[in-house]
Amino acid sequence: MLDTSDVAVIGAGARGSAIAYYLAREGVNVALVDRGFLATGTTGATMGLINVSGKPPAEYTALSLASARLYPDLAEALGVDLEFESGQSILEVILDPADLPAAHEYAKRQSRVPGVDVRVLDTYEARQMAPELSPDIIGAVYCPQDGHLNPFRLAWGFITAARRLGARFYPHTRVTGIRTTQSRVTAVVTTAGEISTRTVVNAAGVEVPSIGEMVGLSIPVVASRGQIVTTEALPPLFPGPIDSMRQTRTGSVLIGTTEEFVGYDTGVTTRALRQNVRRAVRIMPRLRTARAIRCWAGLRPWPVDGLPIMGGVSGLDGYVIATGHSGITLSAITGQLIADAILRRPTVALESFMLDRFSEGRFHFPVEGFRAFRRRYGSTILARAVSPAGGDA
Amino acid sequence: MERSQDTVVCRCENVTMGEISDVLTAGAKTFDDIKRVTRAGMGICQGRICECAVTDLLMRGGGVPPTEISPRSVRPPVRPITLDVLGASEPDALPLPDEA
Repeated sequence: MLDTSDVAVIGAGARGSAIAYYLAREGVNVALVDRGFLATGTTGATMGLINVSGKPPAEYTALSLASARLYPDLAEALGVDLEFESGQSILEVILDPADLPAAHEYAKRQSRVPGVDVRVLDTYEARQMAPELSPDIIGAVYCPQDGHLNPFRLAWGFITAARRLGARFYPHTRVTGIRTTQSRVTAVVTTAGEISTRTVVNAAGVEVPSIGEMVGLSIPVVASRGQIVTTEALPPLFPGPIDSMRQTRTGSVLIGTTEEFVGYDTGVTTRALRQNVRRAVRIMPRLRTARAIRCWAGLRPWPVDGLPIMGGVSGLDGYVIATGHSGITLSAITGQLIADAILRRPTVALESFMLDRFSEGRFHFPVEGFRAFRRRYGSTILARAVSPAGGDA
Repeated sequence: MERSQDTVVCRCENVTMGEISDVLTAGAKTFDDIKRVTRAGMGICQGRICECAVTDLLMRGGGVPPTEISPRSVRPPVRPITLDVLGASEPDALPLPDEA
């Protein structure tokens, strides 16, 4: 027996670590497990963006805004500098005048969400905000609710605070099974022993499906690869993240804008590297003389309809899912909502994000990116999602 | 000269032994674990200078047996390259291998 807890959280990324913290804060006895350390998966490979403006439909935008609003106070509560900043983010740079009407349309639509203000800056305004931007840009989509932070500090902050509040952290511990008795979770089996528990949270990122299979659940999450290249430390060139780029507190500039459905392959490619670099120098010519020092790739957990999966599942008590992409943006609200759900506080917000939406047909594919997704996966994943093996319990 | 919590282990990112010790007590077992939290190894030399010292701390402070030490993960480019060279099109493009 490794441990006994009220809740076992699987996955020490942005969501898992947040959930552990928000539960521990309420006096819940929590054990957090990860096959690696913290932020070993997606969270450790991501840009660090808090993206509110880029999240249609409206419900998703509102959820993202609710989360973004939690970060300023969170840094103080955790006692860790998250390197959080907001108010100066450019979602996208417009390089082709033909794209302007669509950008304005998008800004108008997104701005209908209460509290969200998306504007298209003209080239003068954009360069007032960020003087290093190329004079050739046509405009920039700007949203003051967007921001960024350091993903490693985020996970570290949540976990350190959770441990201080009594949570146990078991890194380098692989989950090999989940025990259930009469439709109720009773334990998590790991390479270091069993954790006796009545509630398990599957926050395993791209491994969410395999943790689902342990209890006969078919969770339709695939992997979307993103490749990033980073420069050496540079003087301050960015007031905030711009388009596909973010300058970290130490000065290095992260550049990445790719999405590929290639399974679990975290290799880097010259095609993506060139794509990333070309857009970067086009937007900010000063970067031509900056030196790239490292490339990497990460896998975003991509639920097939692009929206987060949060909450319990019908037919099995004590099994909670918390996944999706945009973990940095959503970690805080996910932690809060999942903790509320486990403590049986009413959470209307979760209803539209639960797993059952797939088997009940209450979802749709986003148009963007669907063709690439379909090319890779056909309809297999979807077919399995809507008719889970063994039928509904 | 004795090492102390303030001894700088990663010169590129100015990471001290004290910071690394904190991560070891949380259960770090690899160079990459320490790198994620402290930034040791993320600087311009990408861990060339500090890997030995960090490995020593993993073994002594982290209790990792020498046989279980994994090397730091290495990614391209081998040496820093300017973005204008990386993004260049024909005929100036670097003869990088064809896709994949």
